Amino acid sequence: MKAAVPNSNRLRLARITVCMSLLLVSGWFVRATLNEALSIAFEIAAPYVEKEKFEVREDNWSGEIPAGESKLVRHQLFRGNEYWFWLASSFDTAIVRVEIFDKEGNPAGVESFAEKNKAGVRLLPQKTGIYFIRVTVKAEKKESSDILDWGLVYGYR
Amino acid sequence: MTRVFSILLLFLSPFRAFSQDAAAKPETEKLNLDEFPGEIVEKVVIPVPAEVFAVLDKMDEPNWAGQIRIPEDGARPKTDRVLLAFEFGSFVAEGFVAVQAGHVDEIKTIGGRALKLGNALGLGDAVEPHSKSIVEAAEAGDWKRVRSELDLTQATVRKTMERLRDDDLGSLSSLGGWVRGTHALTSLISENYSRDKAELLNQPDLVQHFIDAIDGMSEPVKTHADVVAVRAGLSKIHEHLAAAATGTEISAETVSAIGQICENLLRRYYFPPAAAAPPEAADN
Repeated sequence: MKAAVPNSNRLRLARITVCMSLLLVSGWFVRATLNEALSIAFEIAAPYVEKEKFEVREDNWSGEIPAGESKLVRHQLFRGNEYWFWLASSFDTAIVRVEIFDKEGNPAGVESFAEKNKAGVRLLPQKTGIYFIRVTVKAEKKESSDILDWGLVYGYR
Repeated sequence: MTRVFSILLLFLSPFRAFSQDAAAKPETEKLNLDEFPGEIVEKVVIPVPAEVFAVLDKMDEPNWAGQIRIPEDGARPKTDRVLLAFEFGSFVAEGFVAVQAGHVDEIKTIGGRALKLGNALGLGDAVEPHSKSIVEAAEAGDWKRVRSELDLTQATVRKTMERLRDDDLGSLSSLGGWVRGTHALTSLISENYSRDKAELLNQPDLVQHFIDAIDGMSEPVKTHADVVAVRAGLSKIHEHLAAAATGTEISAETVSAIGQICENLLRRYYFPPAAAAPPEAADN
């Protein structure tokens, strides 16, 4: 026989259940959109793989960023290779930009494009060493959330 | 005339997949790294050996077949998870060497051994599909796909380890792969030294990353005798590379010294142990 649950406890239980459900759903949503940003970045890379014989790495970077802010990714590159970095956000109204700099902060990209929520930069490293990739994600309009997702992949040949 | 030239340019551009309006010369303003207002992303993506090997292939005709060194099966007990993680990463790197050589049989052996190690680590389900794909792609001579599957195998193992809250072992696996890849690289550079090839070893930040990663591991892992030895070896490699960071070239002697450190480390968990190596030489 179950003991009667007082009303206040029932309310507390209900609140906890709702909060847990929201947390689970929001966690799923974040993971889903992060994966979507990476999927779009891989889609941008596809023609380069098929036509230009670039090999795209399976390891990559992704995350969330307040609209209008930038993040830096550090990465080891090798002189003698050619690289493309592709950036995407799953938000159609996002405006993304990706740039690359050497260890001294000098711009190192030789070609780039930016089309709304998709961007890319090409690099022919002049030195083997660490480079910095700057990822910027802005919102074209005010979004329901000011936090935007991003996914960055790269390829070499 | 201008129009004809524009059309020609459009077709000549190797990157015409995107509209020409969007293509542009990238940013020319210098970035002040000391005063960057945003965050630096913590995640470090470790380059796969194939990235470095691709450069060597452009410079020379390396003897890849001579670099394949698959250790005998059953030489070590499959009980120590730290050693298994190092060994797993080393096998993935070995796979990249075998792909460069185009040796199907060796790749099939490596695929099977990687699965065996994956099972010993409790990751058999995650590794099995990749192991199968590696073998299938090798039989079809699809080297690009083999490289991609090897990369995916390492990424899957790391992600699975993270999910199982075994991040340390995931990092050790990546480190094991880096050491074996660097070992093959030093060996090939030493066979026909050039400054350009030696520059490929200019990875002090990556080495520092591995050292920091070990320092941040749980006590039982970072105090494991072999992890301590690997950390010591990485510190020595970092010292050797410090000179390169100041603009000095990486000499043939430095290449050889780094290769020897890697060899000694690999003898702890991958290659057969040295028969009569004095203890201090093993840690070099």
